[in-house]
Amino acid sequence: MMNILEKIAIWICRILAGLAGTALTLMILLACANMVSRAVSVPVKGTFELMGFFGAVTAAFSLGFSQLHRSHIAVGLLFKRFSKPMQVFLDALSGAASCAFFVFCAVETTKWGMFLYELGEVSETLGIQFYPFVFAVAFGCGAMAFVLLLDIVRTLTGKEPLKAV
Amino acid sequence: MEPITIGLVGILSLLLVILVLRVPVGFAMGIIGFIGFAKVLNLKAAYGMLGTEVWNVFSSYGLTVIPLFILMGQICFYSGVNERLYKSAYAWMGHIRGGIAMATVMACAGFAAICGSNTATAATMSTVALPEMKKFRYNPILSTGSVAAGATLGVVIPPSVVLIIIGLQTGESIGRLFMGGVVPGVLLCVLFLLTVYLMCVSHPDWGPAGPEVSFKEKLRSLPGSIEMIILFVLVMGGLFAGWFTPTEAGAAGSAFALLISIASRKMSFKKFTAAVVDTLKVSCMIMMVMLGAVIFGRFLAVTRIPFEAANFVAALPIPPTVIILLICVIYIIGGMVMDALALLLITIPIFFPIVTAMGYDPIWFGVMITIVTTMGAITPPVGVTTFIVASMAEDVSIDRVFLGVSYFMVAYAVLVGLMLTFPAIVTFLPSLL
Repeated sequence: MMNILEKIAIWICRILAGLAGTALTLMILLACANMVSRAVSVPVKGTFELMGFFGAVTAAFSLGFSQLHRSHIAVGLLFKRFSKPMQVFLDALSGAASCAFFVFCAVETTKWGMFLYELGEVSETLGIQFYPFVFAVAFGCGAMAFVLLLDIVRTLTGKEPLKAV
Repeated sequence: MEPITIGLVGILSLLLVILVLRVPVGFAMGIIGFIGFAKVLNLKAAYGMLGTEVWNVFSSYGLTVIPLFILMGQICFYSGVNERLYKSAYAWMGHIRGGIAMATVMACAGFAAICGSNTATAATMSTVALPEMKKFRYNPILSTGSVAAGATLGVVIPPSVVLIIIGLQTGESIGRLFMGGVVPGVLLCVLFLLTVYLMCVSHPDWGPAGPEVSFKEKLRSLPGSIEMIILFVLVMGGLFAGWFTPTEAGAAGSAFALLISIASRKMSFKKFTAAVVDTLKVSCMIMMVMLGAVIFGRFLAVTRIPFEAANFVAALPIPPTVIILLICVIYIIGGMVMDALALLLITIPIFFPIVTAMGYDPIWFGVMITIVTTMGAITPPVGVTTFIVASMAEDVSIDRVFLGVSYFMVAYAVLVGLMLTFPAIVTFLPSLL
């Protein structure tokens, strides 16, 4: 069961990272198109807000992928001074706190997205509904919480945290 | 409990969690900030703040500058720019005593001008420069010390991720911060070269001269560097002339770096994918630290600690210079035990109002704290850059690398002294904008 869940987590994170990379590439294309267009005639309409939306997708969709690669900086200067069982306990504790934090982030961002959807809120320049991007951020946080949850289980069963091979 | 007391407990808890629990810094700031915010106001307000801040931070146009500048550096790295820069510097300087170490510092400075990260600079330059210095029997103290110290130029010389973060955190112009970092960065590079020279004068066997290179070969080595100089001029010149915003500078730099590397057949789809993947990992880490810092900053704001601290310090009967020195000492010590980025994001909301209340130039302060915290990247016990170099130099112990780095700390001390005495070193170029 755990193996399947871990494979699913890695699979989801990879797909999200692929989408994040695409969003990043689109940001470059959009910003360059805007600069050229501005120099020639008028700027590309809505560049400012589209860059923000793509930036949100880039950041949120790479959360779980970064966690799989242990990219988030941690200090833990005194951590190694504790006994092994204590280290496992502290790791599980910090993992649980982090997981809870990202669950809250996912839930509250979803609520924010629902609020924008019900209100029919649109972006200032393009006038498009942008709640899908808010839901995308919530999904990225949810994926991160999922990876952290699997990490806690692995820590408590004496295994190394989940890694993307 | 009074809000200020809750704030102080929050700051101490944050340090405790970061140092003891090994919780990633961004998560720790977010968790403590959320709990503290709920304690000072209420849980409903904290939930509301979380929902909107996650979206606001991730979708901020200002923050899109981060992945774009990182991608520019990664594209340059995967297209082998570091090797070409090193070959150029080697051709021109390698034949003099300590010249290969000097070439390493120069190549680090060149790579720093297109890459804003010291860890990336350390990893790339270690692979290129260390084997060469080993081949010419350089003393490991000199070889590893020059790579580790030179790599820190990645943060000091703009474009620098740390300067971008300071700009976003304080609301100061990123372009002006970049300009403020140019002269100190060049000065630090010169001071490092001087350090290598003095090390070789006192220990002539540490850096034997390399083989003489013909003038024709020297000229032939230049094109590899010229394209990077063009890239640097495009990015910094565009910002300086007001052609584009920092975000657009990052995008233009990435696009130009990609075009150069494709034109010179140094880039493949596989390499581009690897550059994007590395960019996602690094920029996500930074965005997460930014999110944590914003949430922690909201918490500090409701406790009123930054404002009370600014008023308290401004009213102290102590000369502002002494306070600035104390702040620098705090940053040096903090930089020794914490990652520079995290340290800056935690402390800027507290120290920035104090410094501006004392009348110091915010750009000067931004560049100054960038330099003093960067020293922490090569000092024990956390010195990340030093550890990277030690791991790359297979048969050199970490103690020897730290010993090598200690020679270069004098250069840092001289630069800090110069910046304190002559603030115009930093403020002159930004004043032209």
